[in-house]
Amino acid sequence: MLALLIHAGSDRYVIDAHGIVEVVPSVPLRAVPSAPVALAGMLEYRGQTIPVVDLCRLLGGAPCRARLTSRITVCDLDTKGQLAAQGPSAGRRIGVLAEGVTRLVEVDPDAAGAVDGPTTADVPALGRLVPFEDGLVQLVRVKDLIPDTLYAELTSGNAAASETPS
Amino acid sequence: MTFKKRFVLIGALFVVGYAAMLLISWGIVEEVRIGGATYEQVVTDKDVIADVLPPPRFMIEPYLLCYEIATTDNAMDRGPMIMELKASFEMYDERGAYWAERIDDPKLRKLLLETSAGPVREFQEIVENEFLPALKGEGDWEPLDVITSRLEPLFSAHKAAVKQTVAVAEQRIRSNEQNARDAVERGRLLAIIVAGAFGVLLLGAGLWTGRAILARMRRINTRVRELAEADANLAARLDMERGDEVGELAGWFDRFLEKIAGLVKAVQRSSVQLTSTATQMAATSHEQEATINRFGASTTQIAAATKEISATGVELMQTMGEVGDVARESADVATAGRESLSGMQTSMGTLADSSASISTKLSVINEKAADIGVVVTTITKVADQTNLLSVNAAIEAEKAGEYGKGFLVVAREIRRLADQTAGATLDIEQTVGEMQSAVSAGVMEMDKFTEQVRSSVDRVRQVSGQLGRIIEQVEVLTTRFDLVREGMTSQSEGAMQINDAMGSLSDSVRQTTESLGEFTSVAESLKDAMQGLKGELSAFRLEE
Repeated sequence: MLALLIHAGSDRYVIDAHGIVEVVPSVPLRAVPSAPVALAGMLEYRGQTIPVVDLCRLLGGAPCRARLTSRITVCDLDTKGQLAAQGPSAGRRIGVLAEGVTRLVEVDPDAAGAVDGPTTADVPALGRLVPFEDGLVQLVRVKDLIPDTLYAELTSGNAAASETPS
Repeated sequence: MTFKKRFVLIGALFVVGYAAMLLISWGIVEEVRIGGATYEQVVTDKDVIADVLPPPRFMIEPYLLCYEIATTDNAMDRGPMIMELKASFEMYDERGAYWAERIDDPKLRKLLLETSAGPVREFQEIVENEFLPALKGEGDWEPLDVITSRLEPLFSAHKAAVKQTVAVAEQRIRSNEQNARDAVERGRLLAIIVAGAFGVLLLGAGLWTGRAILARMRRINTRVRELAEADANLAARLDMERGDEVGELAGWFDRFLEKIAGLVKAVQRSSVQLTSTATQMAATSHEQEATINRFGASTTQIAAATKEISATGVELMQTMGEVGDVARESADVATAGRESLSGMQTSMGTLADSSASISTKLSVINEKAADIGVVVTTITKVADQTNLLSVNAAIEAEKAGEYGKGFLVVAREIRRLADQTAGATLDIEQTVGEMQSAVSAGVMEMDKFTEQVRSSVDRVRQVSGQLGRIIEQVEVLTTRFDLVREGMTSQSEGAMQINDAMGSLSDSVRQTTESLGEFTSVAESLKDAMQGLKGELSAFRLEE
């Protein structure tokens, strides 16, 4: 499985490349008042406003440092493997802000030694622990990063905007 | 020659032949009819004989013979004459028997065989019993007296009866002739009527048959012409009853049309499937072409970025060369300074100037180092952008599936080169930072040194030590510079490798585009062919 290697705090995680639309540089985000602390803000991505989750804050505590390699990974929540060229309103999307986003790697979730990671109620998005290069990486299920109800609240404007033309 | 013309020709031949027959029979009838030429000839010949011969049933000849016998002087001549008289009597009776057999009319029969025959029998008896004895001188009478007194009244009575008979016979002839003429007229009229009626019937039958055949042939003809020229409607049927050969032909034609319609329908279905397949092929190849074109654009971007890195690397190497020169120069100066410390008292002024000069040079180094910092930042940003580009290119390549496999490898290579660049820039950053802090410290020390030189010669030894440290730092700096140079060289090589990879990638992209173009044109021509086939097929209508 081709996956994007990312860093949060002192640990490494991977995101399945099939769900990824594009990796974009970290830009200043529009803050959302009274939102959960892990929500870094809203990103304008090709005409679509999408929520961005700060993975460092969600998993490690401190916000991601402002580095060149701290990047936002734009992912599709619903359909996997769609080309970015197929339009900005192709579906529900989410941005994942993490550190050290520089490599695409091959990982095998079913390799010997892979186990289901310890799950907690706070972070349901963490998946299997997979051995990779002298250590373990953990799969991040992007679609579980934000509860559906919260996503709907955040993107209600999008839905209204996309319904108006029809 | 059409059937219609043939039918008309047959009718015309028949009419002409029939008219000729009619004319010939008319001529024959005209020739032999009562009162016609033949009849007149026959009657004239008979009339001639009747006029020349003495009539056997008229007693004029015996009567005259009797006179001749009575008046002749030569008794020798009487014998033959009497014989002739008796022969005429026999002839009379013979002819009487002949006519008794032939005449049916009672009136004529009575006149001929009774009224006129009565006086003749009496005449014959008188001749036998009185005239012939009188000739021999027997009896009371002279022969001439017998004739005048006895035979003459009988002859007169007979003559009157014969005239009556002739009148009756002539009347019968006239009525018979009239009857014959009437019969001929009736016969002619009947022949004309029968011929006319027969002709009309024949014409009607001919027209009826001809029209039936021609109408059916015309329907089949029209249908076939429609199929051949204009509206090729395969659904329409002739539906004729199969009474005759034409109907059978129409029936077989309909079955043939059904077969053709089935065939055309199958071909149309297949052509629709083929058209949709060709359209799908064309669409797919267009999509792939678009993807390849994006790859090409990305490749061009990467090549440009690589060139930029290469140019920056060269510039950086030049700068490093200058920095190295400066560092060596400052080392020389510092050495010279330390050497001249021994003669410090005298050369204090010179030392002060030299230290000022060092200060200036150090500030120049500082500026250069700052320049390097800017360049390194630029390289870092370029490396970062290259990394980001390679990550996105890898994601796109993954999504492109089979077509992106090769590009995925290239994207990984690009990322590794970008990482190497980033590592080298980190080293440079660190080195430059150290150099800057060292230079800053040197400047401060130099300032202090200058002050101390001015204030106290005792601190010359300290200054010498400081100078020694400066020299050491500069030496370190020089080795570091060499390291940086090596890094720059490897980066340049890496950039060249990227350039080569980009070149081969460009070639393969071009080849792929070409083959895709060929594929697209093949798909398009297939589509065109299918459109052509559809156009041909649309000439056949399968439904009403």
